[in-house]
Amino acid sequence: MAGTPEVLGSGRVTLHAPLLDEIASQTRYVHDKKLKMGIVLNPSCMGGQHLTSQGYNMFRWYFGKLNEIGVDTVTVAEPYLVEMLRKEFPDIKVVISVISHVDSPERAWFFEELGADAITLDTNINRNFEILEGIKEVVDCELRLLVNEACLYKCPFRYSHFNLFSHMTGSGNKPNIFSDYYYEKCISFRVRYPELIIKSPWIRPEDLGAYEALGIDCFKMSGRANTITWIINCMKAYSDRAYDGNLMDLLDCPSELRDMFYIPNRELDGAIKQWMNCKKMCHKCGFCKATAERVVRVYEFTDMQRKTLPLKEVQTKCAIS
Amino acid sequence: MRDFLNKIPESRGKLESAIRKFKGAPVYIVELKVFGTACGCIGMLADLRGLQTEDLEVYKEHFVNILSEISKNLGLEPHLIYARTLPGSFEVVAFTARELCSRCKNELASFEKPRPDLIILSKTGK
Repeated sequence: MAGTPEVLGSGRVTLHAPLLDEIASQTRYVHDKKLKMGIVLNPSCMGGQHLTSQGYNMFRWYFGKLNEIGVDTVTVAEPYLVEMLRKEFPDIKVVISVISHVDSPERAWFFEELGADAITLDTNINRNFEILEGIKEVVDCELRLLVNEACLYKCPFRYSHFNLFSHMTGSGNKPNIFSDYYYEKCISFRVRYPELIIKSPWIRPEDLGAYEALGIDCFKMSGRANTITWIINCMKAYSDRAYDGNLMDLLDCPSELRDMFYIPNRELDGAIKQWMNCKKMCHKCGFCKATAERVVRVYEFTDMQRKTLPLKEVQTKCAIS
Repeated sequence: MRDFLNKIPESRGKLESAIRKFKGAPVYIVELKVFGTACGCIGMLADLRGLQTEDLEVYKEHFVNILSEISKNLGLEPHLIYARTLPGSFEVVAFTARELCSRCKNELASFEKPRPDLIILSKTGK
């Protein structure tokens, strides 16, 4: 669960703001169920506050409280907090957030040196098996993959958006923004170029085995800002390792578009073989674009009923000008 | 009353289909609302994804036609039809067809560009 926003923001904007008492009761609850409690404190920007005496004292006090409560793991994105947790609270396992963008063996090594017990890898390398294998060879810590975040591959907004979230969710003056520009552009891009949904590096429930074969067997789900039913349905799909329905139901970032696009998950069987050897030269390859044209359907609402049309029928060449 | 309420999702679907047809590309109307403001305006607002300002230039007449038709079907007689953009970007994020109160006739309809984020598509002299 996310930590206390009065102390530190996170990578998702949610209305829930747990205080220490609630974290303590939730921790007791999950421990009773023989599960681990992880607290996510992963803003990408803290405006340098963590390197001030006041910031250091506050984080040290807060981590100390989490330690007393018996929290098992803390997920952070800021390298300084990784080292601070390792040095001062060795009982807490340190998890590197996906927001640290660990996308190479070198970067993984750095974070392990700083004290990481586990690293959630940059989703941009979810379909780069050569790099995944390289990271596995270099570090001993646990590697985690975020399976359903489904952000745009090589998204130009990613760093800026997480920085915005950091300031929206953290303490101090919150910017009074007129719009979440990054989100609006992200969704608009996908509407205009539906192949971006296929290119984005999600992992289907059916394909987890390909990663386990590499030795990566810890899979994390994105979507804590969604409804509880949505989260449970996703967990069920991934634990069943099968989903017979609209892939969009499982994807976090573009979930707004699940009423626009219908992507029959079963029709993506076998695509993993292509992605395992993907050279990331989309302009030369065209596999994801062709796949989108083949499988993506678009909802249309007429006579109070929803039906789906093939993407090609919507992308007509005979538009009126 | 129920008949009127049923017209709202129908209108959303119709607007979406019509734009997709003349643009020849996917567009998403996230939500269509019929509204009444505190100042006295009434109207229809469609939140959308996938359109850019250049689409307004190319298909302006088509947008005005379909928005007029749909608002008329909802019982509206809009004085003003406009698009709202995301400030500083090319993204069009909403269409509004609005019957204006006397104050908004002055504030919105008296100018070619009443606000930096609004693009007026059609204005009637009522």
